[in-house]
Amino acid sequence: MDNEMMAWSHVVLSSVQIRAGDGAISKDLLKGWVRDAYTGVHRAAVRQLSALRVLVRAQELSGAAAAAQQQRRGMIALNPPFRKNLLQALLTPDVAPWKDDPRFALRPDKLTPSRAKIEGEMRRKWEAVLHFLVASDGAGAGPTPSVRAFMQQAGLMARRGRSEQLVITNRGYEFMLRDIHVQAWMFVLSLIRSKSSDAQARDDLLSFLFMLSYCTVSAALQPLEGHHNAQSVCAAPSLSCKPLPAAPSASVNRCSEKVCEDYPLLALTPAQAQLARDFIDLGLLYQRKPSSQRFYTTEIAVNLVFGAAAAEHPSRAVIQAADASAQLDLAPRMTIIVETNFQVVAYTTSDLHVAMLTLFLELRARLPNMVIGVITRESVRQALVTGIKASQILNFLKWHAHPNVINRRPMIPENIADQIILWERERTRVKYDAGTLLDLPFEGVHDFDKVAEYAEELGACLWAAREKRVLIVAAAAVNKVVAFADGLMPS
Amino acid sequence: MSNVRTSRKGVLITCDVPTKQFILHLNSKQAQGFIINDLDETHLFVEASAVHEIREQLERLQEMNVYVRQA
Repeated sequence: MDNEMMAWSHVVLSSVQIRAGDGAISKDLLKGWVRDAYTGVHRAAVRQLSALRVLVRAQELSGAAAAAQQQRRGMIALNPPFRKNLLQALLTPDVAPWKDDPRFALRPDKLTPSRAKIEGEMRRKWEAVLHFLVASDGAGAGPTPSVRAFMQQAGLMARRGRSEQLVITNRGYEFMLRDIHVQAWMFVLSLIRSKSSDAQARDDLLSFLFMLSYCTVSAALQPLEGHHNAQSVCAAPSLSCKPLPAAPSASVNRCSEKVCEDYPLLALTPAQAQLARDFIDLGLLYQRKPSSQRFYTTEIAVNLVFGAAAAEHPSRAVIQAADASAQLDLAPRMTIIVETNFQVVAYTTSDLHVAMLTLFLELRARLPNMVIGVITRESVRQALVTGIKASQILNFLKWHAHPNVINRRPMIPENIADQIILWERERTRVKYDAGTLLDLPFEGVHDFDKVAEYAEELGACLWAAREKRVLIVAAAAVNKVVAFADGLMPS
Repeated sequence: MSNVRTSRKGVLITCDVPTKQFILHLNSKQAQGFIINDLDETHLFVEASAVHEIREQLERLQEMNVYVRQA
């Protein structure tokens, strides 16, 4: 991770050091502070920071005369609000959000839950949600109404036919295969979208998310003051959840390692409190009992904003490192071997995994640490009917490939992969497109071609026959195409 | 005067030759045909209301042609 993060913080900190005026600095000078071997990394960091508008061109900062502007060509500066807040953050010792307001100060919790308990609880709740998603017989009460509503809203589950029961959809399947950070992020996105009409609530939610990323799960031993601070500000939320280096002195609170940070619910705005409650339902936040006025964060919640970056740039070393550590203790791994005779052997102990497998497998045997199933036409068809794609099934099998198979190419026997794709194609042999048939009685082919071309440009031309002068246009663009045709002079 | 003589809403079906023949066969069995326009060998333009029925019939046809080994 470190190269990139270091480069970022180096650039930012270097620019902060410039005290004069608004802190404009020439790019070359900035580069001069970097060793030759790292100029590439440095340049990338500058580019990314510019893209994020953390760094801006000095010319863009107003208030300088034209002559001075000339001089400032090639200079960059930190975005003034960012610079101001960064300096402020560096100079304030207290990092935790909501803690500085005495109105919401919490008395020390007598029954502080242990970190293991919080994480365990989170895993249990999240698994319950995923379990509900794959609809494995509904052991237990199932998730709360808000979670159900989310599943439907985000299109992860849908009512099939008239029955009340929710069934997993294509998107839901994809959701399930994602990393837990991404899943949590998708949940948040759908929530924000549902609130998109209300700007105030949306801002509230966003600021809540950012504040969360500055929370810590457990109050680890406090390292040197100020140092901790700079770290959490510059190096993004990623670091805030990692166990901080233990301070050499043992004189700090003796069980502080186990003490989890609690945060006051009352400090939240109504919209934020609603989100917090949803998070508690999902297990992203922890609350001892519903009447409690404090909540505890979990690693996933703290990393929510950061984890989103993982979705966009999965190749980044930073993220991989963070993910790997998170995944290690989150999901017990499942490994799968697909045999050429359509038999599938999956080594797993988790009920959730078994439920995921039954989406496209016919189970034959279940042993304590493994499951044997068969891929049949019917079982795959059932998956396809719910909208799951063949590629998703194959990716799922590849994703969980057994270490013994992982280096083999192809990972899944060719005949199996091909057959699954053929089964899918069988269902998509016929394509249905709603459209409108237009009869265009042009004398010459020329005018007709123009209209057809126009429809093609709109991406709406489904079918065209020059001789018959017949055009089929997708429903969405009919009006445009008709207007265009009418606009042509009859020849 | 409009350059568009007629416009008609419906569903364009794109499929292979045998499937199209099967759909024609379905059409001929019904008292009121659902095909609006027989476009070419692999394209048909049909009433939107008939799509569900066509889908089901095609699925049934496929089921008939599959051999499943009894376990």
